[in-house]
Amino acid sequence: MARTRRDENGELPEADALRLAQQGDAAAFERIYQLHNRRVYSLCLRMVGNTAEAEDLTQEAFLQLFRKIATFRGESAFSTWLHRLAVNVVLMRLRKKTGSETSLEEVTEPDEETGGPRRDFGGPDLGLSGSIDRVNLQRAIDQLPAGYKSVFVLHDVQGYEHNEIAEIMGCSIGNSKSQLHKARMRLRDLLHERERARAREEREAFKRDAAPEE
Amino acid sequence: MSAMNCEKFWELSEQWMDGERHADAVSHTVACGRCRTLIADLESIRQAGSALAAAQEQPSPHVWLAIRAQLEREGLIRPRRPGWQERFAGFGAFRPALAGAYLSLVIVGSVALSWHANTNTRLQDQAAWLSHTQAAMAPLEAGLTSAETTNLPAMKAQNLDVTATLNHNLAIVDNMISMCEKSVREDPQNEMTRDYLYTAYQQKADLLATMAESEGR
Repeated sequence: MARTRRDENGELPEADALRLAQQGDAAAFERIYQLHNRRVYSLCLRMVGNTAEAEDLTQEAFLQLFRKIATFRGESAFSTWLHRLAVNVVLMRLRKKTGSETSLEEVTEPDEETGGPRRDFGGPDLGLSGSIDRVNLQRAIDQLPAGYKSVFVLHDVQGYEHNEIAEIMGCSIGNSKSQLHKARMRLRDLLHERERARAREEREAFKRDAAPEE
Repeated sequence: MSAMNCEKFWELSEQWMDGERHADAVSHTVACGRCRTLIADLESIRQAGSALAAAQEQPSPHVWLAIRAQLEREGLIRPRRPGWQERFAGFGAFRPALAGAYLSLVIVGSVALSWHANTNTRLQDQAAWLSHTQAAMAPLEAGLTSAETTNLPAMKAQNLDVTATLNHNLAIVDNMISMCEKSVREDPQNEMTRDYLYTAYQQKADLLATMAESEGR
C-alpha cells in the first residue's frame, strides 16, 4: 500500500488526497474541499452574483465531484476537471432559470440584438471613468449571456489560459479567445450604459434641486 | 494618416488585446482617439476582472458540513479514524478532563443519533427529543468548556502556530454549533438543521481530539 506523505504544513498533498478520496477516505475529501473550495465558490459567485446561490452551487459541484471521483483517471489536471464540472453545474442552473438552451459545447454566439456587443464605431469618445467599480462590474457580468460570462470569469477573473478554458468548456482555443473578446466588448457597452444612466440621474437631480420653489 | 479605419481596427482589437500589435493598428491608435479609448476601456475591464479575483471569498462553514452529511448519508465516505479504545488511550492518559468530555460527547451523540433515527416514525417525540438533547448537552458543554480552559493554555505554550489554527477552527465550529442550536430550537422538525448540529458536534469532538493528540506529540 502506498505511503501517505505530508507537506511542510502537515497536510496531505493533493495527489495523495485524491488517491485516498478514491478509496472513500473522509479526511481526504475534506482536504480536497479545503484546497479548492475558494476557487469553485468564487467561480460560482461571479457567475450568479448571489452568495446564497453560489454556496448552493458550490455544494452541488463538490457533491458531484465526490460522487464521480473514483472515475478520475488523471488525463487532465484535477483542477481543470473540477472546474469543468463546476461550470457545468452553474450552466445547468442558469439554463433552468432562463429556460435557454445554453450548453457547454455550444459556447454561444448570442444574437447581437440580445446579448452580443454592439459594433458602434461612432460610440463613446469618453472612456470608462476611473477604475471600474466592482459592484458595477459584477452587475454587468450578471447581464452577460452564459457563454460569455463563463469565459470572462474563467480568464479575466480566475486567470485560466485559453487552452485550459477550451478544455473546461469543451470548445476550441480560438472560440475561447473570440468569446472573451466579445464578453469584454459587451461589458464595455453595459458599463457605458450604466454611466450614462447615472449621469442622466445626476442631471435630473441637479435640475430638481435648482428649480425655484413654488 | 494611417491606412486603417476604425472598422478594421475593431476587427483587430481582439488580437491587440492578445498582444499582437500590427504596425497599421499602432499608427491608427496614434491618430484615432475613439479607438484609443476602446483599447483603454478593454484594458480597464481586464484589470477590474483580475481585481475581483483578489477579493478573499470563501463559502461559509456550513457548506462543507452539508456536503459531508450528504456524503455520509449516501455512504460515499467512511470516516478514517482510530478506534475509540485507541483514541481514548492515546490522549486519555495525558488529559483526563478532555478525554472525559470527548467520551461524553460520543455517548450523548450516540443516544441523540439513535433517537434521531426513529424520528420519521415518531414525530410526536420531537419536543421530547429536543429537551432530551438539550438536557444531555448542558453538562457536556460544561465539560468541554472546562477541558478547553484547563488544557488550551498548555497547548498554546507548546506550539503556537498549530494551536492558533486549531483554535481558529474550534471557533468556527463553536459558531456553527450556536447557529445550529438556534435553528433547531426554532424549527425542531427540520432534519437538515439537526444533521448539521450532529456534524458540528462531531467536528468539535474531532478537533478537541486533534488538539489533545497534537499536545501529546
